[in-house]
Amino acid sequence: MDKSNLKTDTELVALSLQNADYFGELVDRYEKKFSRYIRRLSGLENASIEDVLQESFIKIYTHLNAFDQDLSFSTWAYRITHNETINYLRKNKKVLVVSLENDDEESGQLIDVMKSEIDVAEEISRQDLIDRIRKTINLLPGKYREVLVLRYMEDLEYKAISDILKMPMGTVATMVNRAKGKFKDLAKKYHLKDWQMNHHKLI
Amino acid sequence: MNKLSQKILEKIEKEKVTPKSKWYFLFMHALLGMAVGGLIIISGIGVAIVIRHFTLTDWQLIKHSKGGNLKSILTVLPYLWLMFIVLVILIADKLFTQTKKGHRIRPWKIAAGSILISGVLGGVLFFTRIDKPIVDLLRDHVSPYGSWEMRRNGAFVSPEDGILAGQIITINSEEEWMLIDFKQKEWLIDLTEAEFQTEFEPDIGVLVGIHGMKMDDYVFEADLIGIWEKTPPFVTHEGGAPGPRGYRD
Repeated sequence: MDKSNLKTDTELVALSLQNADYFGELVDRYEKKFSRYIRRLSGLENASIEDVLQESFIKIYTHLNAFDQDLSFSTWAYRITHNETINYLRKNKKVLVVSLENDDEESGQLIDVMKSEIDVAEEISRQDLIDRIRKTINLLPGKYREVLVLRYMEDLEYKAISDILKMPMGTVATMVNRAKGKFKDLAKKYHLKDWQMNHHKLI
Repeated sequence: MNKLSQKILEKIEKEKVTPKSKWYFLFMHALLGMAVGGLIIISGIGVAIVIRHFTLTDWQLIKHSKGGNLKSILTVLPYLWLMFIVLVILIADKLFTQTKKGHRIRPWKIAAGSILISGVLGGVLFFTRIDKPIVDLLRDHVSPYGSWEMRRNGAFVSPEDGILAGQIITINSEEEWMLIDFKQKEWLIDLTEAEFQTEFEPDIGVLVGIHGMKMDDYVFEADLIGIWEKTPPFVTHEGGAPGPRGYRD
């Protein structure tokens, strides 16, 4: 077993500053997690996700000396990845589209939370429900989608979200609450009662 | 190692990518901290100037100015400085949220804190008169500021309504001065019936506010005279005259 696998993130940061090879271990540790986050947050295709991911890790590497040990490495790196994703979307004039996959376990959590906000007819299949929820979430303003992804798909605590999005914890809680409220309103407006009639309104 | 980490390490090696120095980040953080601190000091100076405007304004004279109390008060309000303070505090607050832990504090708490610090600092600066040279410098070297203050002071030049304000340019006798008002018109001031609102030593260059009656285009009979820029509390007024303020020819 490689010894670096036993090291903490903070130790690997310190070692990476002396030898870049250790940084590879950090990349291996977080590649899947951040790749999934970029996809969930942006709905980008794989090639673009890899570009964003690569740029994020390079930025993390160049900013290793700015790593704030009051935060966990994960939170700090999430912040950089989040910003790089948003920058990529802006630069390429793409719209943030939350991606929900049927087989994604964490997506299931968001689906369950959103499902609890609305009355769902029993005859709707799970795939149909996911489609409706995805489309409804994507009607929400970007700032609400971001907090929903971080809270219910990345399963992060309010404090971590607060440090990633650089906003007070109270504001994060308010935004999560508002996002759920808005989701409920949109769901009522477009989906659940007259899905067949209104689905063309959804992108 | 997997494909992505290899790619990244190759890129790091090929493009000679290196982590930015620790000093760079320390410098940037220090710069941010200094910017926030500097802006709070600037807003403190703004507050001191606002306090100066409020406390040293001759409110007795304002009552007699043209357009009624409300218009006069609106003219006298240092809105330019109030806007400046709001702008500076907004920038300081925005920068503060960019500091390491600044984002964890609620915006209203940051705003309340910066207003409180600026207020206290402004009070200290006012009582130590540190704001005065700044205002003098602005008045003498920044012409839009000079014009604004001239307009503000001009509200007190309304001889038809019985008020006049300006600078003493000649003392002919104990009962007669020559004065140039804030609209640059010269007047002979008849002091025969005048009362002095506060004790001060009349001298050339002293700025005064006068209540009285216009006798003709050139003569104004004073019944109440006050010094234009009063001495702030707790400060000994040496020499009596605030000196030329740029209105003199």
